[in-house]
Amino acid sequence: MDATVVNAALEGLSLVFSWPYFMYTIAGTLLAMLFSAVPGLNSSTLMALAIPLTLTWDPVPLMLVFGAFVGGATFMGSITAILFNIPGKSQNAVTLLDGYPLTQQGMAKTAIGCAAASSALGSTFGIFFLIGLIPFMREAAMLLGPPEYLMLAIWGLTTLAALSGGSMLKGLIVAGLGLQLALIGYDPRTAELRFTFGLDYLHDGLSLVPVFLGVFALAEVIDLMVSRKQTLSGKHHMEELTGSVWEGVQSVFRHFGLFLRSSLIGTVIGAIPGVGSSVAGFVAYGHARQTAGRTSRFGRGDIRGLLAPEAANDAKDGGALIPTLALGIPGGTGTAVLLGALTLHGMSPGREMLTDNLVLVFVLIWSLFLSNWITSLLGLLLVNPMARLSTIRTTRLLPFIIALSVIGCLQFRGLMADVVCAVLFGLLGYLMKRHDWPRIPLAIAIVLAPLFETNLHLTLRLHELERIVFWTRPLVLILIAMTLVNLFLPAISSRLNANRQGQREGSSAGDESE
Amino acid sequence: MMKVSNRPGAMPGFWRNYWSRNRITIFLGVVTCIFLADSLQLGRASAWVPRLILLTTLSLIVLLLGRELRVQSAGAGVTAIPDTKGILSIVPALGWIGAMLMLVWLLGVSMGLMLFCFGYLRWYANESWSMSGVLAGGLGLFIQGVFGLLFKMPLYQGVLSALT
Repeated sequence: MDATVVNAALEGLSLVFSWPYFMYTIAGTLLAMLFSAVPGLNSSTLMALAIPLTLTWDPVPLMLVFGAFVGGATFMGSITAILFNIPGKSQNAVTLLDGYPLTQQGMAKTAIGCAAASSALGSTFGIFFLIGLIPFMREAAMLLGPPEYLMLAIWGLTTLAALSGGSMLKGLIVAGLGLQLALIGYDPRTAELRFTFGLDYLHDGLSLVPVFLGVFALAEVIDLMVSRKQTLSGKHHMEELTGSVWEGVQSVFRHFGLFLRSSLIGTVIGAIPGVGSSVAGFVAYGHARQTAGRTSRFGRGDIRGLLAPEAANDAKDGGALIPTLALGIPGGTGTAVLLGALTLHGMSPGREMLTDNLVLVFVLIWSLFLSNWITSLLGLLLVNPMARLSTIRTTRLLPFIIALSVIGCLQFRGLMADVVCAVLFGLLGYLMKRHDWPRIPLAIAIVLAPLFETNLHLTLRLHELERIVFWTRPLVLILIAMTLVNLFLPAISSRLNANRQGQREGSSAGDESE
Repeated sequence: MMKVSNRPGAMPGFWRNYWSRNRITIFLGVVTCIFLADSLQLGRASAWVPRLILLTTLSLIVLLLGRELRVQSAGAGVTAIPDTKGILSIVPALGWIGAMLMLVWLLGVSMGLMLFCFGYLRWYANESWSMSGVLAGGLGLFIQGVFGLLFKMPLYQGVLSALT
C-alpha cells in the first residue's frame, strides 16, 4: 500500500486516541445509541440536528462526532428488533426474523451476544476493506451503471421472494404488493400523481417508517394482545433463560465463513451508491439461508439468520463511505447528510478529499471503527438488564412498545396520519402472520422499488439512444443468471428430491418383495 | 377443526373452506384490481410500469388461487381453518389501539399515551391502581424527559391544545 496512505492512517489513529478528541467519539456514540433506541430515528436525523451546532467546530472534532453518529446508531436498532420485534431502522427489519424467535425461546442473551460480536467484527471487516480500497476507489465505483442497478434490484426481489419460506409464489405476490404500494405518489419521470385516491397524505408516497413499524412492531403488539402470551420469552425469571452471551459470541467464530461472506456482501452493497442500507442485511440473510442446508431453522430462531444480517449491516457503513468520499455520491441517507456537513465545512469529496484531507478521512474512519466497538461492548455489558425485559409480563411491556412505535411514527414527519397508516399496516401484518404469509418481501420491495423504477426508465432510455447495449454488459449477465437461479432452483431441486425419494421408495419396495 | 367436503359440487362447504383458506390471497387480488382500475386514468408514459407490475402480480394471484383450488379438489378432506374465534379475538386489541389513536389525536403524545397506558394497565391487564399509575407516570416522564428536554423535539400536542 502507498506510504502516504499508511502515514495518514497512523496519524488519524493517533488523533482519535488523543485527549480530548477521544471524548468526542465516546460522547457521540452514547448520544447516537440513546437516539437510535427510538424506532424510526436514525443517525441521519441526529446528524441533521447536529449540523447547525457544529458549524463553528474544527474539522477533527466534526469528523469524530459524525463518525461516531454513523457507527453508534446501527446497533441499538438491532436490540429493539431482537427483544420486541420492533425494527429500529429499516435495515433492522431483517434482524428480527431470527432474533425475535430466539428471544421467544428464552435465548435473548445468546441473540444479543451474537449481534454484538458480529456487529463489531463486521464493522472492522468493512473498515479494513475500505482502507485497502482507498487507492482504487474511483475506478471501482464507476463500474456500475443503470442496467446493473436495475438487475441488482430484480435479483434482490427474487432472492427474498424465493427464500421467504413456504411458498415462493406467495413471496413473489407479496413482493408485487410491495412494489405496488411503492408506486403511490408522484411518477419520478412525468411527475403525474399515481394511486393517491384523492388523499393528500399519499402525494409523497408511503414512508418506510410507518409501514415497517406497522407491519412488524404493531402486528406483533396485536398478536401478543390476541394470544395473551404472558412474557415475550415464555419465561418468568432470569434463571430460566437458556443460552449465554458467550454462546452468542462463539457462534460468530463457529460460522466464521458465513460471517466473512456476509461482511463482504455488506461492504460491497454499502459501496453501491443509492442502493440503501437496508438491502445489505436482506441479501446477506438470503445468502445465509441459501447456503444453510436442509436442517436449518431459519425464521424460527436460527443463529445464522441473525449473524449474517448483523455482520452485513455494520460492514456496510465502511463500504458506504467509499463512494461518499471518493465520488461525492452518498451510499445512503446517513452518508448524504454527512456529505452535506462536509460541504458546509468547505471540504469537497473526491480527489481533493483523498489527497489533501486524507488524515481527516482516516479520523472519520477510525472514529466509526471505535464507535462500533463501544456500542458492541456496551451491548455485551448490558445484556442481562436487556434480557430481563423478555421476562417481564407482556401486559406491562405492551404500552411501552406501542408508545415507542407511536413516537417513532410521529417524530418522522410529525403527521398523525403516519400513526393511522402504521396501525393499518399493523393489521395487515398481523393477518399476514396469522395466515402464514411472508412479510419480508413486502418490506424489501418497498425499499427496492425506487431503485427498480428509476433505473428501468434510465436503462430503456439509454438503450433507445444506443448509449448502452444491455445484453453485452458482463455484470448484467451475471445478475440475470443469478435471478434465474433464484426463480427456478427451488422448483428444480424439489423435483429432483421427489424423484430421488420415489426411486428410494421403489427400490425398498423391490427389496421387500424379494 | 371442522372437516369439510372437498368436492366443488358440495356447496357451500367447499367454497366456505376455500374462502377461509384463501381470503388473504383474494384480498390482495381485490387490492391489485383497484390499483389496476386506477391506473386506467394515468397517461401512457406514467402507466406502463405500474401496469406491468400490477398485471404480473395479478397473474401470480390467479395462479395461486388456481393451484389452491386444484389442491383442495384433489385433497382428501381438506381441513378448514377455524376463523370466527380468531376474527373476534382481534376486536379488543383493535379497540384498545383505536382508543390510543383517539387519545393521542386529541391530547397529544405525552398525555394521550400516558392515559392510554393507565387505562390499558388498569382495565385490560388488571394491574393495581398504584402499579398502573406508576407505570403510566413513568412513561409520561420518559417521553417528556428524553424527547422533550434532552432532544428538544417538538412533541405532537393534539387537536385540543390548538383549540385552547
